[in-house]
Amino acid sequence: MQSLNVLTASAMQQFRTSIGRPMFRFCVLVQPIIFGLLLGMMYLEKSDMDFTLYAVFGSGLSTFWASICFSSASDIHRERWYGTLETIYAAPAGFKWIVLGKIIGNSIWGFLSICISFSVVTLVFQKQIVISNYLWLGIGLILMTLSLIAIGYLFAALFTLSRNARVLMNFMEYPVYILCGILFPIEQLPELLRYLAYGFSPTWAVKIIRYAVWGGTWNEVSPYIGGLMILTLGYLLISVIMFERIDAKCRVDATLEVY
Amino acid sequence: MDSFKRLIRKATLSYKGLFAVMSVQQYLMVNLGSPLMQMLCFTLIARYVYGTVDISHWFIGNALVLTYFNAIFGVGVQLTQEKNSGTLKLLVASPSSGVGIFLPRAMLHIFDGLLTVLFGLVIGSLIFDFYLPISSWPAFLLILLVASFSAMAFGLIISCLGLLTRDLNLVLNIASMAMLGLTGANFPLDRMPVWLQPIGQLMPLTRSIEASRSLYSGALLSDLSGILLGEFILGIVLMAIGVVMFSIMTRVAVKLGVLEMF
Repeated sequence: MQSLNVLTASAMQQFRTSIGRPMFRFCVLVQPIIFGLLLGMMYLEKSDMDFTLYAVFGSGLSTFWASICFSSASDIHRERWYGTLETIYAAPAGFKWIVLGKIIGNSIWGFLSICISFSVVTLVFQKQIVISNYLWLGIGLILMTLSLIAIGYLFAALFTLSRNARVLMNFMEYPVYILCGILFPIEQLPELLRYLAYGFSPTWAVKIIRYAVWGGTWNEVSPYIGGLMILTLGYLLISVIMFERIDAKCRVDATLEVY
Repeated sequence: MDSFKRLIRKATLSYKGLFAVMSVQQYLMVNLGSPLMQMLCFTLIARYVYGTVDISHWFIGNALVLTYFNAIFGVGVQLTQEKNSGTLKLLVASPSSGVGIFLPRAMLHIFDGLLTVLFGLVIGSLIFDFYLPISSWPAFLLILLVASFSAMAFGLIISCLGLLTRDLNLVLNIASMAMLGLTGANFPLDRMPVWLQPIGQLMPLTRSIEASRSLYSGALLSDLSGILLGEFILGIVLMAIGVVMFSIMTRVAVKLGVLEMF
């Protein structure tokens, strides 16, 4: 119960404060609009389904991912910069729960960015938005949000001891757009890369949303739902192990706040 | 000769000041990795959207637009970095003219931007079968040089805007998105609303992208001289605007005593 309180308090605090940062404001408020317009212009003459999948949802998912890159992945780095990393690390509330709360707080904003791009692209382009199955859409969006939280948590763990967090977070944005078929079908990629793409949960989430747009039976969608859930649990498990190892390493090396 | 040496020294120092803190790996990721990934991403979208077998038309646009990385994230942050380092007041108090301050800060980025594009073209030739006859390369390099110059001049204006706001990242990212969307790199400019099209024409790189596509389609350099001259003049105008903005802003800031206020 105490952990849940920490989680909620951390998420609420992060939700209120993260939007104060200009880069985060850009990611969740401005980028969905600009990216939505840019992709809308590009997909203008494609079918309504392609337009819905890539211009409407693609722009939203890409900005959600950007918010993970520029916030969840770099929050640890930011705490280090502020000189508060040691404080939250040593807090009796539990470092893991505080970090998870932060990522949930950021992800709420990330999810809102999908709503912004959906509204803007729909209003500006006046194209027909095709959603054949609202259940798949709901499941896809919920699982994708949970999975991005898990990825953010994993990155937070990985970057706790990394001096390259700032550079890496800038580099991570586009490779995921390319690999996971967020902005175009992964069938455009060479076969080898397509196999690699399935190691990243956004690929599975995009497939579920694709079925929501194009329509599909439970038999068609369920493997992707299952795959996404397994990957998300896998990310969470690795994150928990990483946090345990980092805990030991920080105490041995005493390099938590070293740049 | 002394002034030329001084120019080179200032250009080198300013460039080093921006990147010296990074390891080679970080430098390559920032300077080549991110721009190339963006180029690949948008070219692949274009291949899917426009469905053309020869994707070179869109690839060239996305390769040229890479110069904005240096223009915006290199040149655009220069004055804010001076402010952050506490050296802006020294710069303003120095006897250097506006051009003397700006030119060295843009100089190496012009060549760096050019290198990024050339590297992108090599990658493109491997992935998208981009091919430009050797006879067209001198003209293409000239277009790249002019494109890079006008992009850097735009970066200088962004750099001045950085002095007005604490939200520099917001300005930088909006400017970079504008370069992606308004220059015709990714979709035909006539798809934009009528009121937005003149802004597209006023953006740096729009003419260079048009010129390089025409060159690829077989046009001669002499046919493109008007467009290139237009891009070069645009660069000069943008640089002049940057110098005037810097002069006015620093004068007002000194008068109000807010030069280094955040």
